[in-house]
Amino acid sequence: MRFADSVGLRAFAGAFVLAVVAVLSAGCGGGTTSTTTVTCRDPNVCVADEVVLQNAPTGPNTTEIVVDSGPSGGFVLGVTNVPYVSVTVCQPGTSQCATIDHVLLDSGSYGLRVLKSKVASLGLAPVDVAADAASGTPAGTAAECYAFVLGAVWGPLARADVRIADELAPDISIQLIDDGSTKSPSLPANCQSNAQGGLLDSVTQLQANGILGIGMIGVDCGVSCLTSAYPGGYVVYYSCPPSGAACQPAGLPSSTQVRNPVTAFAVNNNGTMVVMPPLPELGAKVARGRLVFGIGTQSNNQLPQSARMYQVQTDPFSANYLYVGLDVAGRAYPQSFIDTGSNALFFSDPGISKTCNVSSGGAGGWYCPTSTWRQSGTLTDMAGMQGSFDLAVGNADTLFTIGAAAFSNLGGDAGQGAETFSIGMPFFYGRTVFTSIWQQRLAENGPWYAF
Amino acid sequence: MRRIVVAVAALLTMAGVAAPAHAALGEPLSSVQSEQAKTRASRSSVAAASGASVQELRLADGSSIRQYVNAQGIVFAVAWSTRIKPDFGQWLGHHAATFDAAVADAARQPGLKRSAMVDQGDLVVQSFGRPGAFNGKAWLKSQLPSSWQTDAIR
Repeated sequence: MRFADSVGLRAFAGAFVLAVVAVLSAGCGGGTTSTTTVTCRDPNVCVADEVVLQNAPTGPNTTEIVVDSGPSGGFVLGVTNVPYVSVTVCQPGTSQCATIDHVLLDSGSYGLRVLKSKVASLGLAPVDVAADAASGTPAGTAAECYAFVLGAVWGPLARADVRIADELAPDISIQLIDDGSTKSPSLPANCQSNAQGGLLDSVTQLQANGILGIGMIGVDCGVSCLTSAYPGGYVVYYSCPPSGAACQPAGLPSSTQVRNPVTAFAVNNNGTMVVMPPLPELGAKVARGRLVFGIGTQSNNQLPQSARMYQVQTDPFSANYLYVGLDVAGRAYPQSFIDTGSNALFFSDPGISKTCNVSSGGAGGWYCPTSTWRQSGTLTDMAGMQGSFDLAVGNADTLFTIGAAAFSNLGGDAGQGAETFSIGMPFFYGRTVFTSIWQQRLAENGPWYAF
Repeated sequence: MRRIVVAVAALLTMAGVAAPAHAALGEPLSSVQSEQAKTRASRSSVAAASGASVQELRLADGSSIRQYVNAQGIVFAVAWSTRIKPDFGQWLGHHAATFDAAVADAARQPGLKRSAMVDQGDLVVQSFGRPGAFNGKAWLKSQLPSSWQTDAIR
């Protein structure tokens, strides 16, 4: 069924709504329950209007995660499984703040990036870069081209207090994503080409007002960006002279690079815990869960006895650096990762049908199996620790037709033969997933996942 | 498949040492002027499967980029494992534009993109990962040595 048909179908269905309120036991420990409100357009096609995790961890180190249809409101095809949080950005040491909703929660990157227009009134101070005669870097203020596999964000760095829940990251570097039609400072050509597929420079492009990177690393570039010269790679940091002349490549010390805000919290600074409710087979229009800061630092963020820990590869000279291994249905994916920023399970399995009516979801399109694909996946960590979990991929045409925003069974092709498996948002529903931060103090140090 | 060591060139590990040339995908390796590597980088020829040689650029942060060169001296494949995304303009040459155009629709889908795939004409590109861990490979079908398996590009 084409999407255009489904709009009419949903409007039509309104007259036949049968509302059911069900309380499901989530079974994720601590007596947590989730509430599901369901609408059926006929007895066979029921979709959850909203799934909420009740009394999931509360407390000053927690905030809500919402998976909904995005910052522009209304239903946007394909805005699925994007987890959002609210973040408050302040002029350091003051109560002059802006609270920004619909900031994409990304466990696969590091640092806070918000649309420049959302904090324009705060007049945040830039990050200065000293001249470096040896490399030819002029004195100026720092700007960054932060790239993803597809897309990149461009804009200046700024110093800010970052507040999430009752946590405070005082006076850290964040990036302001330039969402103006004329970029200031001007966009370097190198950044334009770094943004494979196009620059992410608007709410429409990002489907978010910013990106909150809470992944396993403390700063967003580290040693690779200490100097301006990096053979073979795109430029990350720039110094933009006050004269308005073109920005030039620059090195930045770790202290002024964009910082993972979690590492700057006073106590709950060694990782995060993401708790999402289980979803019905056909998904939910809204799903609400919790983001908890710290691991083992409070009564509400203890690693349960039942949780297994998976260390990612920490040898930077290994091709599997920052990855874990995953085996599914006889296929090996040695470069796999668990990631809230991936809105589906992205992997390559030529045995699953990609014949879909909906447009491409990523590399090679969504998966549309005739019946739900179900497999067990086995994770293998750096130390050989193994554990299994269940994976499901439903038919993307069916799922998108329903008009929900949260799905536990959406899959897409990562590119034929690619040895990677993005264990994205679908994995998180009905689970508590811990992500530790490297070089922060933990009962077991290192970057790891646990669930 | 028989693995042979083609050569082990001198490691150029010091800042300011001129690194040997590199060419983009589909170009002859010898056609490009030497460039100056400004940071600690080593470049060497490493083991390769029969019918090809490999030039590897390895950086102090653990990043590596390998170029596969066929018997005609043409770079037929590139594989990378890098902390910062490799400059595809530099490594894929004019094929970078083909890649960009092919992924434009995918890039505009909501959510962050952690994998991308192009299989168009002669060109195949697989690119995936996240900041700090970018991985992938690209090759030209017409330039692959006969009997070569693309999973040997890594």
